[in-house]
Amino acid sequence: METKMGEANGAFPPEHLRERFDAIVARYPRRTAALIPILMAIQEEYRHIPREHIEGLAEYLGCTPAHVLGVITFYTMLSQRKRGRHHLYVCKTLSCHLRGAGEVLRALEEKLGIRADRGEVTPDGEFSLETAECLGLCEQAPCILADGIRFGDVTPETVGRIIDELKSRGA
Amino acid sequence: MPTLTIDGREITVEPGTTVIRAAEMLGIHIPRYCWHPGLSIAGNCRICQVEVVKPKLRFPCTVSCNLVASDGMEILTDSEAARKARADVMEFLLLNHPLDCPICDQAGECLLQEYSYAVGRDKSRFDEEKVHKSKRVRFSEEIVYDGERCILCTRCVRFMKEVAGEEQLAVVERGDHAEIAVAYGRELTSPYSMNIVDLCPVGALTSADFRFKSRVWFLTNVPSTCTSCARGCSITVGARWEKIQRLTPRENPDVNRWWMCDHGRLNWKYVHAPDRLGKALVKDAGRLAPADTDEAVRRAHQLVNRFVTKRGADGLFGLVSARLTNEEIFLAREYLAGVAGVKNLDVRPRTGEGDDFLITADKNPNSLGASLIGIAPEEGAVGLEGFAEAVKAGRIRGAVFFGEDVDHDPEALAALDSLEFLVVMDYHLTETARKADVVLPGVTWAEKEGTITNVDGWVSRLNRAIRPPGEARPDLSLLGGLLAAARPEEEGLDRPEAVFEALGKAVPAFAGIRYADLYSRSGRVAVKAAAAAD
Amino acid sequence: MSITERRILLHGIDREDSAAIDTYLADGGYRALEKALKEMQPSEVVAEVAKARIRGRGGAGFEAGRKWGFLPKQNEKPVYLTCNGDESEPGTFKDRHIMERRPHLLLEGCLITCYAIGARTGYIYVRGEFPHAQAALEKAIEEARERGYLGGDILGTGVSIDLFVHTGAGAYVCGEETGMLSSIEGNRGNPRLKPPFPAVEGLFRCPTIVNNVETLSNVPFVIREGAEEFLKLGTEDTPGTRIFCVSGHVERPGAYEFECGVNLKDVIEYAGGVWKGRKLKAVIPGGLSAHVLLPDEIDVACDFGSLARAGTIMGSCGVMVLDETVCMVRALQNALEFFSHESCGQCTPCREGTDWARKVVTRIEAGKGTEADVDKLYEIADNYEGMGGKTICALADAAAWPVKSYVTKFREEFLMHVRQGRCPLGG
Repeated sequence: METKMGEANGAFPPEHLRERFDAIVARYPRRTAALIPILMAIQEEYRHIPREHIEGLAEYLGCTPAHVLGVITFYTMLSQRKRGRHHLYVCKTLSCHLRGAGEVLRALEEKLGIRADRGEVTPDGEFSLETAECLGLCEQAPCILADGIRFGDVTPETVGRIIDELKSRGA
Repeated sequence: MPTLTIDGREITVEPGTTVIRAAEMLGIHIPRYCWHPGLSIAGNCRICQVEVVKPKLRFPCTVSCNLVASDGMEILTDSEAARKARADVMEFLLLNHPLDCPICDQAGECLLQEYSYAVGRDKSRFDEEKVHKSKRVRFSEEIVYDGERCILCTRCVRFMKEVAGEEQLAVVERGDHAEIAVAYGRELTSPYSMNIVDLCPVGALTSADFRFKSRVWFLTNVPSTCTSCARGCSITVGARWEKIQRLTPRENPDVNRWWMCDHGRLNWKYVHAPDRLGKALVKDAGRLAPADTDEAVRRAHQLVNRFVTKRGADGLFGLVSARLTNEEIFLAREYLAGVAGVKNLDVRPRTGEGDDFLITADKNPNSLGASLIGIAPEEGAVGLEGFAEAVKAGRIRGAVFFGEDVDHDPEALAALDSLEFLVVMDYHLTETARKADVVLPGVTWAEKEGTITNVDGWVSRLNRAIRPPGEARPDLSLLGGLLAAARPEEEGLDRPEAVFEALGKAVPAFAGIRYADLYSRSGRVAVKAAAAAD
Repeated sequence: MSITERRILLHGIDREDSAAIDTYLADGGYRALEKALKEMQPSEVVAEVAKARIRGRGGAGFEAGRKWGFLPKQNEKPVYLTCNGDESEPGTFKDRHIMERRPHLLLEGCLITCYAIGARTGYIYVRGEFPHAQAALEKAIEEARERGYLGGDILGTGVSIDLFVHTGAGAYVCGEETGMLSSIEGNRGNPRLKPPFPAVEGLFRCPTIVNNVETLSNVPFVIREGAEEFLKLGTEDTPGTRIFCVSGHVERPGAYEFECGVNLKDVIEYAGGVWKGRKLKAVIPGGLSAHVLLPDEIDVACDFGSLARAGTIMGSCGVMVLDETVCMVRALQNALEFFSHESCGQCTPCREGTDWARKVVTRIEAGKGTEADVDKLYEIADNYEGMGGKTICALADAAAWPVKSYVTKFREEFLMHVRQGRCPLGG
């Protein structure tokens, strides 16, 4: 989860993450192989991949900033725009679609006042929405993945409860 | 060694040879976008599909760039299935392409145009909104990227990583939103970056220098050799209106493969500089005044001849440029050493940054030629280094500079004032030339023919791409004039081919190379000088 | 006919502590590993697995033992095992069940396989959207390490094997085996040109075996009980069990393990049948890529061969059930949104073709298509489908099969959208 370390500055790796990153790097015969796990950790820490970390990360792993950028933009869970403190992946693929994912998404958009397709974040920075391609929770369709928590069999009526639960867990 | 059949023709190839290469050996050109002989195989564009008749695969067609030839293999490059496969790829490639050929620099040398002409449909079936991507992105001062024209073949990405040695470009985003990018706040810094402009098979990467200058089909393309350093990369000079429009690398497996450096590519502006000499100059009452060229040549020889007759050759210094051609250097030596007996001969060295790829630290294009031909001070004679001192000491009293100057050396420059006479041949009016009694108007590499010998001994041709300004003449002709003045009884020698032949007889290193073999638009254009090999 | 589950892979998953090592050990866990390490040569393990003919559960159905046999005989480089847990074929969630509920089963399968193929290191690639599976595996790895089943000198045999979890970050195409290798190496998840195949040149340019989670999870049974026992399960075509992931319009969606050869109709019935008493409209039997089946086509045995003969694929065993209210045009639009979004963008036909098809079907769905568009839609898919010839990987094929089968089997419904200028089902 996000720590109070808050904003990123240019130094890489940030001191509080160094040990963790070094341990990831040690798993592979080549440093660059640690790129995606580390990006996922940065995403979790800062809610996005801060631009100012790209150069440092590239240097840390022995690749180029262009390479890092290519990777960041390939994977949908990595974002260059800062997401809300609670980011909701709303599955829209067929199994969820068949069981009302569209209605769930609309209810969420209405409730939060933001649009998923525009990558919007609520003005207080609390919530952001994103449609996801199959989350692999099809037996619980429609489903949502948020803050590492899974919500299954969601209906337009239950989205309010999900938001409340995420809020109550804090950041 | 596997023997395969391509379009009914048999060929035996080295194990591991791909079908696209085997076809090339048979003179069969299989369309390609992503494949390039100098880069790794990406296999992404899919235009090089051919029909595989034998062995039977799960599918009728596949890409020939990654298909390794096997014994008994049967390939059809132009069957109905192969044509259909390519036509389908063409249709897909053009869906989101802006089709802005009228304002695209690549038009005329665009592989999209080429292959849609060959296999494309006459009408688009695409009724949807095209994907919009980045336009006019500066990858560097010199390189402009258009994401909408890009077909994502990744030649540029691979070049930067594999040849230039640093992955400064990447594909970003994915699917049909993918495009090529540099990292934030960065630009391409490799001294070889501009090769990606040539590599780009479409109009996605263009040269800022060449953009909108000329339609490529109006260019006169002349094969030549870059003279910006001792590598001597093979190039094509694209000229129009008697002006150079661009230089591009020309394939030469022995020297530069497919590449050249950006500096060499852009280092031609001086050819059209305003200080070019269009007329001979002869000093009259202390001032240089325009003169007839033949008259100036005679006058130059007169100065040399009188000096040598009066004082002997020991007081004469000859500076011969290692930027001149082998033929010119040979005639310069014939004249200075052979006719006048000058022992104080030297070149002006030029050095700078080199690398472990193409760029040499030696910035003279023909140092090896000059050295093989024998432009160096004899034992105990005066070289460029001791020149100013020797002038001060009164040991050197006259000088002849062929294609060279000492503008870089204030002491040497000042020493020129003390000389009894100075003859300079050059293509522009240097500070050195301003101090001369006779200035002979030579030309640049772009305006003359001849050969140069690169750092590894490969002899390559320069060819005349444009007309020289005014009455300027190829240096060989001026040197031939001097020799003719000295030896009026002998047959004149100023045609490059004849001089090269004479050079071959006089200097063993050049023996056995036929001048006529050196001019070629394809295949091997350089022949290794025997002596340089060791 | 009523059928019963045969839970080998999903054994005991209803237990709260199904993931714990003690639970696993109590059920005979890690005995196969011990047997392999102490009583068998690596080549004997390979032979036993080959004999069991475990067909690849990722969807391609290639026999694991044969794949292992492609490793170069002369080799100086390290060998790697990579376990494909990038389960992202829509409608599939079987690997997630194994990883979360029976992580030690998978680890044991990986460890035995590493031993068999001579790998010192294995990576389990888990998609980024599965944080629970990642956590479960990480925990299981620690437990196994503590008990001496993983790490250096396993069970005092001198054999050392490390397993690591590698997270994905959101890309369907990383489920393609070479896309996964690219991703583990820290690259964009672009599938690679083949040849070379991973067994010859894979991860870090070393010989690599890539197997799916469910595939590897079958290995402990084969080693412990013997290939003969495994062959008694399922069919001649596809021995063993498979986890059927039933989703969509059924009463009880879920993961159910049956012997291969079970009738598709029975599987759907087992999951409670079509919900709300509605009529069945269509079944997608093997994940979203699979060709759709009509109600009269689902009386079919579920193994690779039978489903292929039925004109579809067994694939990932993601059975999606569509009831009578579903608009097939909208369903295809949904599928193409998925595939065009997930195309890596390398190969021209897939990059351009899948999105073109999406745009056309979107127009038809909106009632703005023409009859010619319906034919065009089919042709586009036909032009990018190439069984590996037209593109580097099979994503284009996966994106073509729904198009071709929906347009063919529900052609009238597509034409109705055109003629009525809207969805005839009111969707």
